[in-house]
Amino acid sequence: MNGADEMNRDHERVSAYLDGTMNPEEAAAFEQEIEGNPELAAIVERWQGNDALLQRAFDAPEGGGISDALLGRLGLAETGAADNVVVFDSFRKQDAAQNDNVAPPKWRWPLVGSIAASLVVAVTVGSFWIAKPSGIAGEAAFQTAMNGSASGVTVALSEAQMLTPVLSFEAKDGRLCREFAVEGHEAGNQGIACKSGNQWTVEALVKGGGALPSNGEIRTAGGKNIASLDAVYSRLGASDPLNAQKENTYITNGWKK
Amino acid sequence: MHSSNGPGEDVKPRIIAFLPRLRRFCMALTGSNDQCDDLLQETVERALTRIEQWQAGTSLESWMFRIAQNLHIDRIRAQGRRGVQVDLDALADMSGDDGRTITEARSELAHAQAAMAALPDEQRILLALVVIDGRSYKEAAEILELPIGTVMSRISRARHAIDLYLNGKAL
Repeated sequence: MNGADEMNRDHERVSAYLDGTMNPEEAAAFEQEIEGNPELAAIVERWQGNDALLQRAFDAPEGGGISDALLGRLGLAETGAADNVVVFDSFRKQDAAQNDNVAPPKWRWPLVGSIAASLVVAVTVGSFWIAKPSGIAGEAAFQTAMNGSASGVTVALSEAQMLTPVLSFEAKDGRLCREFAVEGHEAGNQGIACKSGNQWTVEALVKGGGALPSNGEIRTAGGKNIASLDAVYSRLGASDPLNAQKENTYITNGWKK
Repeated sequence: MHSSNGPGEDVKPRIIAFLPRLRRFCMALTGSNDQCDDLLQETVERALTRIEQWQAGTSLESWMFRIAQNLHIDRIRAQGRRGVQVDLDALADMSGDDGRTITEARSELAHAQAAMAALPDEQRILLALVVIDGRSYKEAAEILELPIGTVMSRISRARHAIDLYLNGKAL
């Protein structure tokens, strides 16, 4: 095998690794090889970073960039939204589960652990929808609770609303994110927010559905709404949940890496 | 079975739900909002007028990705141009120290979009499906009607070219 062939072979293996097409044994062997090959490790790291950059570069704007005018131009403006659809901005975004080939979670192999195992058994049940993040992120109490509350610990946002961070993780773009549950006047919301600069930005908010996790309980795939957050976890490229020690470190240092 | 509203009406809500992903795909292919929306419009029109050709039980989304990429290739052929072909050595020369200057001059995201635009169409389409939309190699192979080995080699060549463009690095 000449040098060019070897390079192409290595490149195909790096791609296969990043795209999750290796089986666990192949991935483990590749990771072992990476440990002893700094050049190969550097390629994996750079390509992973390039992928994340491309995803951000083509990330759809809020509402997917679909304006009412564009819907009209496409001849789709008059189509009624289903009952479980929330109009956000001008675009009617439906449950991602209606797309039959929504991207599966594609995390780095070392990150495929308990969260992946819990997500693959998730099923789409009940009536839920992913809504545009409400104004909750703009509330100081929300920012304070997300900064300072450990997962499983419920804090009061107001007399009527309680917030419980459910778990924390790192997104593939490097941001630190948290799933949270809000219990209040309605059936309850669950969502995911990521820290950008000094602010927690809500990535998705799921309304309705099952009971919120109780204090001290880290939710598993049994939760009804986990399926609707699946696509968001996938889009963010979620790592395994941070353990309590790491989470506490981030809480202490203001979620700075 | 389709309702009395007509087959096109049946799938419209599903197409609407799919539009953000389809638009992102069109954006990655064309690199401009205007061309993207033209391609999106043509794709939706083609899908609705030929909905009978979609086989229920198969992926509507994959079928529409295929329509979009075929229309994109048709347009390129009609315009008499191929995708911008960039020599790998030239890509490396563009980066390095000079590359950092470029990156500083533009935003990082614009630089990434420029890298995508510099790829040959066949590689750009695959990166849009696999890296940006998260399709598996198998799904991408089915959408593009390519052997899976071709998908693998094109994806790795595309990532290598992107790396040269963004970082000026090679093995």
